[in-house]
Amino acid sequence: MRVRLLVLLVLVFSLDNVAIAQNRNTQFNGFGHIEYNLNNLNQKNSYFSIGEHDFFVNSKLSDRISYLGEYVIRFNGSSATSFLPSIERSLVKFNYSKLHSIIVGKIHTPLNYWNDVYHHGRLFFPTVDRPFAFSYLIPLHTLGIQFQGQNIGKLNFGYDVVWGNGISSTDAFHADTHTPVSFAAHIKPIEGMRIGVSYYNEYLPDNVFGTHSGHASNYSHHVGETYEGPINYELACFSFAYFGKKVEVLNEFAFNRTRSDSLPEANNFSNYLYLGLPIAEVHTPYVYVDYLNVDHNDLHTYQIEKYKVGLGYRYQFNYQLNVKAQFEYESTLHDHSNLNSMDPFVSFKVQLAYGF
Amino acid sequence: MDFKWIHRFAKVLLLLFVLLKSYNANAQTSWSNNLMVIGNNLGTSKLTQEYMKQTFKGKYSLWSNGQAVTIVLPSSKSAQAPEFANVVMGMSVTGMQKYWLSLVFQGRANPPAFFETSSDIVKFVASTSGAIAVIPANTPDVPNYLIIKIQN
Repeated sequence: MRVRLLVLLVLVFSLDNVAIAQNRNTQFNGFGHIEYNLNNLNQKNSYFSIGEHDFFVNSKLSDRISYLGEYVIRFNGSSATSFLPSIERSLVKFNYSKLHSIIVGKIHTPLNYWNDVYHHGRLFFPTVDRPFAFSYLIPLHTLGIQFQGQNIGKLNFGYDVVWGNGISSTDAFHADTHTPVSFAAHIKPIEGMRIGVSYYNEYLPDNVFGTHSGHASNYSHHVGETYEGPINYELACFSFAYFGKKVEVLNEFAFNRTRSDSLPEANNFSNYLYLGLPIAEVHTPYVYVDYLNVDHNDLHTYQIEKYKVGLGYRYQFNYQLNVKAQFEYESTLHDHSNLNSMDPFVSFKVQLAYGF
Repeated sequence: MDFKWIHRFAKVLLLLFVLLKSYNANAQTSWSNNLMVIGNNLGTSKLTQEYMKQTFKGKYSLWSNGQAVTIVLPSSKSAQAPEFANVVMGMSVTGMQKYWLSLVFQGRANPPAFFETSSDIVKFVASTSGAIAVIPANTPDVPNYLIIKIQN
């Protein structure tokens, strides 16, 4: 009996140790946000909304191999349960040398600072919303293989080369054999600063949107038939970010060129500029300007011109909780836009963002 | 299209970069004699101050001997956290925690281990190959083989 008890105790303590070891190697986090919106659109409205809730796991599988997963649940009115789950990132990273690694899986494209750094964590966003370019020009995700280097040399040079599914693909299928390659490079010359450039090129034989594009929203502003012929989609981005103790600057510039067999090439661009002035680390008043211009020749995103300017304030309770409040003026200038986005409007937004 | 505005914009960014670089040059912190670096199987018993600080900022993922880097940090409740965050990371405790949460979330580093007391840190480092930590210099019962000399 005593021997059985001893064996049982040894087993219990062994399992406990295994659980502790497991805890050391795997970290779970969650991120979420709740918002309040008030605007003076045609139909004035005032409402609270529950935002994306993001479950994040990072696990060290061996000394050189790790897993990262990001799973999001978001509100979706057309879903039976009013919420839809999605896998936003799921990747295995092999660190084959001190500063270089190979990543396989679903990733966020490294095409600009915002997408590469903030992902779906509103806790890290400097403002309430993403720049316009995310809804119109930037392919947000891809599924494939990524070669990554970081912190190389005195300038902390970093690179990303990605070969993965394109704009028209889903997480499980791609209807053609054109797999885009994207390149991104950055330097971090001083603490808190990152300067980056990137290039993306894809041939879309049928001009179809899949789950990886962030700009599948063209139909919301385009009225009429859509083009289903081939499109060549090029995107070049430039990012400048500096998040220091006394000043924060983020500029995201994107230049997009599309070529079809019907019209001359279309040149589109967007620029987002954010300026923040942190005071004693916890108070940050900020301003931002966002501008998007899609050419009238464009048969992929379709013509639109819009801008917004905003003035806001962010209060950081601690590293896991902040609140942002901002006034925003937004205007959409394209005649074919739907009615809801035709008239300029002023909105007031409050976002409580948390991580745990 | 007229691209002159891009040149102007680049000039403004360059000016901003120069100003920020000169500002940052004055923001260095010096090493404290109150602190001691410990590590287990790092492939070396000496580190330069700069290399050690960059390691704690997640710059390196492997030691020269191929061992994975495991960062050990004082938790926010730890009495040594403010001094560590200031001297080693050049930030506040909140800033340090936010920095690491962001780095892990980006997928650019493995999560650090957090401990409240120096004795817990020593125990963890002693049992974890590749682990590095900073503890108060007067911490008792630190095995000699864990002590890492810091050079300027």
